[in-house]
Amino acid sequence: MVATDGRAETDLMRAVGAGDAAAFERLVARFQGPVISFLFRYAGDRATAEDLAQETFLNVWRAARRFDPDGGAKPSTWIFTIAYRLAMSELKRRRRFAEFRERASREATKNPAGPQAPGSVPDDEAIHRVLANLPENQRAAMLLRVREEMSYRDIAEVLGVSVSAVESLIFRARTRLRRELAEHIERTGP
Amino acid sequence: MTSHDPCDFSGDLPAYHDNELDARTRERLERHLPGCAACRRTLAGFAEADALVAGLADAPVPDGFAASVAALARREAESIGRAGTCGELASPLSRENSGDLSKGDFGDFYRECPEAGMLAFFERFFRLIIEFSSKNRSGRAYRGGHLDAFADCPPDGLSGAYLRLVSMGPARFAREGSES
Repeated sequence: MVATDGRAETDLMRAVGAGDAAAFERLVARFQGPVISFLFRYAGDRATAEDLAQETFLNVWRAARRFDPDGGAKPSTWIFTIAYRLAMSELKRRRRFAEFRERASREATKNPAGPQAPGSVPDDEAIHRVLANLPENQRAAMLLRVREEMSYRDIAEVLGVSVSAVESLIFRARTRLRRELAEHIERTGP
Repeated sequence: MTSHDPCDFSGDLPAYHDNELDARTRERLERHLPGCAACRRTLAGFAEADALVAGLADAPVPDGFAASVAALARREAESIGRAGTCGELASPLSRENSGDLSKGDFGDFYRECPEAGMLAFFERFFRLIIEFSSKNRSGRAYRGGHLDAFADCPPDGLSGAYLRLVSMGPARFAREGSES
C-alpha cells in the first residue's frame, strides 16, 4: 500500500511539476512498488508491468505541471489513474486475453514470494489465475480497494466511473473470487 | 427468512465492510447483525476474499528502477532542449496558459513563428480528442471517439509532424527570444 503521507507527496509532486529531476526520482522510488504490483496483478505479467510502470512515471514527469492539488487531486490517485489507463489501453490494443491468461499462469508459477508452504490452499498462483479471469474493471477495483486501501471515491476517479459502480464492481469481484477459489479447492483437493 | 431472501440490509453490506457507510446506517446495521446469520456469512465471505487478495506477494521492483526512469526523464528533457522539465514548457499553448505570452501577443507570435501556431493547433486537436474521450456533454462516458482509435494509422503522420514541430520548436522559440 502507498504511504499515506499526503502532504509530503503533494510537495513532491509540486517539485516534480517545477522540473526537479531529483524530486521525480524520489517520487518514483515512493510509488514504484505499489504501481508495479498493481500493474502486475492487473496486466498479468511482470515484463508488461515494468514497461507500463516506466511509461506511467514518464507520463507523470511530462504532465506534472498540470497536477492540481488545490483542486483536490491526490498524487496517488493521479498516478494510479495514469497507470490504469495505460494498462487498459495496452490490454485493449493487444486483444490477447488468451495469451494473457497463459502468461499470467506462467508468471504466477514464478512466485515472487517463493514456494508456498505445503498444504496452503489456495496459493498465490491460484489467486492470480482467478484474478486474471475477473473482468478487467472488477479486477482493478478489487486491487485498488484491497491492496491500495483506496476509498470508493478515489477508485471511482481512477476508473472513471461512479461511486455506486465501484461498490457494485467490488461486490461482484468478491463474490466471483470466492466462488472460483472454492471451485479451485474442490478440483485440486486439500 | 430463507437463504434466498436477502434481508433489507444486504445492499449495505459492501459499504459497511469497506467502512464507507454513513454513521446512522452503520449503527442500524450493527444492531441488526447479531440476529442475522446470512449477513454475517456474507461479511465473512468478503473478509475471506479480501484476505486472499491482500496476501498476494508484491511484485519485485527491478534494481535501480527509479534511477533509470529518472535518467530517461532527464534525457527526454535535455533532448527537448529545456533543462529539468518536459516539452510542455516549450509549447505555445502552455505558454499561453501560463501567461508567458500575454493574450494580445498571440496573433503576432504565431505570425512570426508559424511552427508555434501549428504546434498549438495540434495540441488543441489532441486535447479535444482526450476531453471528448472521457466525457460527453451529459457527463456520461463517451464511447464514440477515443485516442485509441488513432493507434495505428493516420496519426503516424500526424504525430510525426507534431513531434517534428516539438523538436524544432524550442530552438526557434529561443531564436525568436534572442532577436527580440
